[in-house]
Amino acid sequence: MNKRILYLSDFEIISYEVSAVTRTLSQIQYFPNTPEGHQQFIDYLQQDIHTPLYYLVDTIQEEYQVISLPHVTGGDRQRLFQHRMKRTFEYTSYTYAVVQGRESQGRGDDRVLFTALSNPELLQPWLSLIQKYKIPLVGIYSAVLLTQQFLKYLPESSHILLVTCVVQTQSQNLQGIRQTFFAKQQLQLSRFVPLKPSQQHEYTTVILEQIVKMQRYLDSARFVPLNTPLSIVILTPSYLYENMQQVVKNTRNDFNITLIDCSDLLEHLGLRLENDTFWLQTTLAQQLFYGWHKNHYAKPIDKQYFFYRRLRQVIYALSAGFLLAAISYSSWEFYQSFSMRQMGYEITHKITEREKQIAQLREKQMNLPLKIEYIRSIVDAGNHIVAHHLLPQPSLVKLSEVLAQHPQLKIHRLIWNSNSNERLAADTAVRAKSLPENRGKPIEIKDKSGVKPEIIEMIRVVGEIYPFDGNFKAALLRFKRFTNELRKQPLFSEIKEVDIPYDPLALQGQIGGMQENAPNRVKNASFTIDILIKHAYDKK
Amino acid sequence: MTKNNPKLDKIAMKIDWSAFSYAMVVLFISLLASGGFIFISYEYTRELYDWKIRQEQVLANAERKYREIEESAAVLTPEDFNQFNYLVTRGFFKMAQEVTLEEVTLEEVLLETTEQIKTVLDTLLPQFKIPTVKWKFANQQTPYELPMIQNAVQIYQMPLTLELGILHEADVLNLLQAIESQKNIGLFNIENCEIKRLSDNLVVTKVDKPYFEAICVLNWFMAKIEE
Repeated sequence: MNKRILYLSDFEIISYEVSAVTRTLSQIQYFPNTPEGHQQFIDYLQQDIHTPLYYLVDTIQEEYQVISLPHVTGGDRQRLFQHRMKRTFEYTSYTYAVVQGRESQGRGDDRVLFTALSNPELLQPWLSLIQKYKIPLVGIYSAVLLTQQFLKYLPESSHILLVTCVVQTQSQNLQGIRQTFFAKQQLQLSRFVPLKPSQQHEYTTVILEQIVKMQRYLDSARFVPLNTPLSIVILTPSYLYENMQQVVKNTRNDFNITLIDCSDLLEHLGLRLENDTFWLQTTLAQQLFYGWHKNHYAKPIDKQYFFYRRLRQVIYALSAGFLLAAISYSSWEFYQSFSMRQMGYEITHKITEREKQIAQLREKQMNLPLKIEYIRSIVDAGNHIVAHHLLPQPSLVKLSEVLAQHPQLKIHRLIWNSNSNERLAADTAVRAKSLPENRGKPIEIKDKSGVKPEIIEMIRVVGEIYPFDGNFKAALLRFKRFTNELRKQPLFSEIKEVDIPYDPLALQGQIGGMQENAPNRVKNASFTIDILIKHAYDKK
Repeated sequence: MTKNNPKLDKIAMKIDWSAFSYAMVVLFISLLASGGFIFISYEYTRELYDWKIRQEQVLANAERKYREIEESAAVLTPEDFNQFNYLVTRGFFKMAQEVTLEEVTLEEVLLETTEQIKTVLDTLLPQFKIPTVKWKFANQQTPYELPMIQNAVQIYQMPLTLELGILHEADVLNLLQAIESQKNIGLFNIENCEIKRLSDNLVVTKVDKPYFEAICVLNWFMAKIEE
């Protein structure tokens, strides 16, 4: 994007434009400080109200003061600077302060350069129009402060007096010379000496005279310490270079003067001008094109449309960002949905295929009375119920036979029931056993824990030794004979003695000679046993 | 950089909304459009996701049905068909004769089974000369869950409690054996049976009063297709 630069001197105001493509500085227009000039400036502004404007000021009415202030930081520093600036330049609000370093001696005060445009009226007519037409103003820059950037291209020295020639753009006449003094690479003061029209032809002599005057001032004011050489650099336009070189050589051998052709400097800076004529202001203007420069004099209100422009850019960037993020997200979602739709169609295709296969299977089973899976379920359920179907007769008949051999036992109650220890595992295993591929193979029916599933038939026998004469040991003996006989029966898997006729610990205090008249005396020898009969789990 | 009177500058500076009102409109439209994009794409994807999940469920059902049919076809042997016929004969499952299976209600099945059991008991009990007989069906039939059945076939159980006053323990065993031997009485299991002595002394000549009390619970099972 092109940059627009407005150069204001005591004599003229000129607009420049730097091309972003060719990086070439071109002069656009000259505006005299007259009503016609103002109208031309308005037309110029209205041509392009969007491109930001850099306001470069090079005036005799700029003041410089280097002051030592106590070293403070943060808000205190700002308040101190404001206070000091108010005292120093109370007649203008176009001020600037920059810390140049700290004193090496004493309490280490800050060395602060204060500058100000002593005549704000110089800026106002143009600034008001810029404000009126809402042109984004990047900042108001001091040409002298920007000159400091040239130091890195000049011969190294601790104290430099830079002499530059100011040429009026319209007439191309030398308007004056600017002498800027730097100590330890920091601006100390600058002085503009206008040339009278009569002095135009003896400019070299005038320049040397002014240099001598300036050096005397610097020495007397102790800007340059004793025995410290002052390096004088004269930046001269090409067309003056030869003449200047000759004069300096012939007259002032005692000065440490370096002459630099502005064209050489320009080449060194990598800058290009539309024509070869060098003026200091054009170089400075072009310098603004590169990098970021700190604003010197513009107040927030002066820069408000530049701030709005930045805000607009941020808002547009945000809008674009939101839209881009939304489009990215949507694209990702649509991509996801596309792959999901593909998967869905594949599933639909599989469903169709499966339904066709189901229909084919059904066709094969048309002669069945029911759907084949229902027949399977009914058979499975039937098998399960049949597997659990037990009659009490065989076990109770066997018990009756044993009881017949023990007439001293009187049975009061028989409770029979059946159950299985693992229904599901057994059912699954039984079903697996019936698969065609398992036919004839021995299948061990076990559940997950390794327990063999069984249907367990249980008979609880509740009775007593009858007749009973009080002899518990004899009763116990008879009971044991009975249970031993039961255990001999192959049908009965397990005999559990739940309650036996004689248990000395349990019957303590209820039996024996001393307990003849005890109210809770036990007068019979009762017992309870559980008989377990285990059946393999299989359908009948 | 510091200024002479920044406070005054701030007061004097009024926000010129017109300088970025267009940008704000663009931002608003951008937000609206972004929201629209996100909403539409999200909704569309969600719709498709739900559709895909539904399709997956349909496929899972079809797969399960296919496996069930395939497995049933592979597993069913002539022996199984014999067993099925046996179960139908026993009345465990009632086949519809001329109407569709759905029209045979559970109540009809239960009523028919109950009537058959009643007929059998009314025929059998007098033959055993049992002094006192009481029997009753439970008030309602309960589903009998079998984990291996996961289709429309539902099994119901109906408990019958028999309370008998008997002269000898063998009477109840013989009666259960006789019930078992009936072909059309349905499919049942004996859940439990308790025989309790009522009298200490047995007098052979007195046969009008029971010496034992027997309480047996028999569970009848029925299958029903509930599609």
